Amino acid sequence: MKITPIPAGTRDILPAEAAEIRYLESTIRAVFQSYGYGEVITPALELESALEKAGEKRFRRSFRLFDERGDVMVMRPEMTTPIARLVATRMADREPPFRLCYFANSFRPTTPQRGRQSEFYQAGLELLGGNGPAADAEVLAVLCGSLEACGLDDFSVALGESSFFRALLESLGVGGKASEAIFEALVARDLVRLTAEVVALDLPTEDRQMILDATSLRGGSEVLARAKDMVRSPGMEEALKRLARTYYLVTRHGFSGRILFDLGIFRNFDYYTGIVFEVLSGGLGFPIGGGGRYDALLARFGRPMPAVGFALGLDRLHIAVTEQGRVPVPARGGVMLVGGFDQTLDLARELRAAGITVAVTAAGVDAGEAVRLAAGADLRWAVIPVSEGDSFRLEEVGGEAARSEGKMHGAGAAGAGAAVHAGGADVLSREEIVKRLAG
Amino acid sequence: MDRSPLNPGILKLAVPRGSLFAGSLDLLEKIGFDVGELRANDRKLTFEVGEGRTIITTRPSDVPTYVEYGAADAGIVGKDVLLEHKRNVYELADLGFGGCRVVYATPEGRDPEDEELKHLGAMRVATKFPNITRDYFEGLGKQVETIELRGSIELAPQVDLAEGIVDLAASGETLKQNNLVERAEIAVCSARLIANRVSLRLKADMINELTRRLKEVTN
Repeated sequence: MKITPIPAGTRDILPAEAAEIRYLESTIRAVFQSYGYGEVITPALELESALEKAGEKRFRRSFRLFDERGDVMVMRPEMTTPIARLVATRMADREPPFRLCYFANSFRPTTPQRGRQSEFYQAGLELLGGNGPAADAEVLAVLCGSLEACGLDDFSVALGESSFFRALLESLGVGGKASEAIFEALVARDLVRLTAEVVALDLPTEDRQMILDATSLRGGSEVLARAKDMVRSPGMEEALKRLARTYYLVTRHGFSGRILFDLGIFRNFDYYTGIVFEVLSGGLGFPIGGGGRYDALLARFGRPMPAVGFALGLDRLHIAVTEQGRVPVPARGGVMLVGGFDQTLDLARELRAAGITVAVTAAGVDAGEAVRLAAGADLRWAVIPVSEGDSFRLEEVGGEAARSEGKMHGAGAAGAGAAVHAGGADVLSREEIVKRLAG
Repeated sequence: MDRSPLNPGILKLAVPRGSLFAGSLDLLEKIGFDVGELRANDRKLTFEVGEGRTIITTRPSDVPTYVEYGAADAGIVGKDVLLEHKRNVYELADLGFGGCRVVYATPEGRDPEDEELKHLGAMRVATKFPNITRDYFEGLGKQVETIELRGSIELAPQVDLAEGIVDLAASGETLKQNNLVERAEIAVCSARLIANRVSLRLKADMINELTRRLKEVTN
């Protein structure tokens, strides 16, 4: 039969992978909660008229449909704007600051590739109503803490300050079309075009060089010193001071080794107003996530307040953690119980009461088949009744495979889980099974 | 392998086999890469060219793909390939060699464009660069049907497969031999240094150094 397809850019996730992704999610949720972030759930569909308040550009690339009145609905392409809407409406009677987080799917049409899908799943948070380096540093600390808790060793946060470069252009009197062209080249990551635009400026060679140098300020904390030499206006000084203070506070949070500086980050330059950052992992060619300060957004929903936040791509994080060879899901347990539909219901109930996963299969399945079924369902054990009475044979999934290949080390190393042979003295009673698996 | 930030192990550079190959090797040799083996061996695909440096050789149009995915940290590629494939990479420097132009050409004599557009609403343009072609004509507000070919683009108008072509031109000799006239210059291209957006930060020192030295020897 022909394979039934799903839309391009979407994907199905099977139990083993889903367990890993959910594990990462629950790990991150615990870290978010430890900083006092409360989870919100918002609709996957938003009215276009509502989202457009955030700026039409941000939503141009989205899936759209119509509701029964003919109003245009958008499949949310990100979560920050829905949260801004929520804070301005549902939480209008509460006082900031708000610490909100989400674990949600968003949608954006794209040419799919690994780590880039039209439907993607994110973990993120927003700190609304908090201003200055203290708030910025908290968000960066939660970010680093979450990634470390997930077991990701190899990551850095590239940190920039969008107002530094803006203030530099202002101080040099570069505005209007010229600065627009410069930002366009930067957003396109086209430094050849940037050079051409800058060379065309009516400025002393020195100043033109300074613009180019400012976009390539990246590296460790020595970047702050290099940037300091460029300061030529109070705006630049202010931006740099904030950045240095934020870095200092992140250090105090215990994450100094995670920060890299990159004053050439230009994510959505018309959106971010202060710090802006991307999470990078050496094993991955694209960022795992990113964020920044967006102090202008909430005013568009009628409730002006500063805000900072980030989003992590859970799929991407999962790839990064897997690239390290570590999938930190707790050890697999659980039992495939033969006859558990009816004949061995008592044992099934007792095992579940003891906190053990029990999947069941019909009576009459032999030990080999039971082990195969257990393996297929990602369970560790198979339990097979051996007589009419109350005795059972216990097989471990790995142990069976090892034995059939004539290797004994697997069975021996399993300790309490050593496979027990039927017919011998090792057949276990119901009580013994429960005791051994729960122990 | 030490993969800690700012002290990453190896810089992987993608170099295109094809018309930019010799020029790329000349440049890399000038900045101290040991490229002797690359010149000698045209079957091998990866080369160690000094402490902490690896070169991989690929089809020209694949270079941005390797770099976007991070399989190579940086690469050398023609601007025409970048314009056509629009990969998510940093374009760091114009390396100044491998100059060529992307042009729009139609048969000699009266330009068939007006008649086609007037009566049929759209004209057919044969090309290896469907995206560049679409962007160019969209920018002019003209409808075209792009016909994607892999080679011998200049043949298409002669056998009435298309009214015009969009193709690379160096001297213009090929166009002339096939009775084609250049009607517009769409882009001027040369070899570019590109980098992966994560490598650019995590291997900032190595990539900055590579960029600086390549710029030195090209200026």
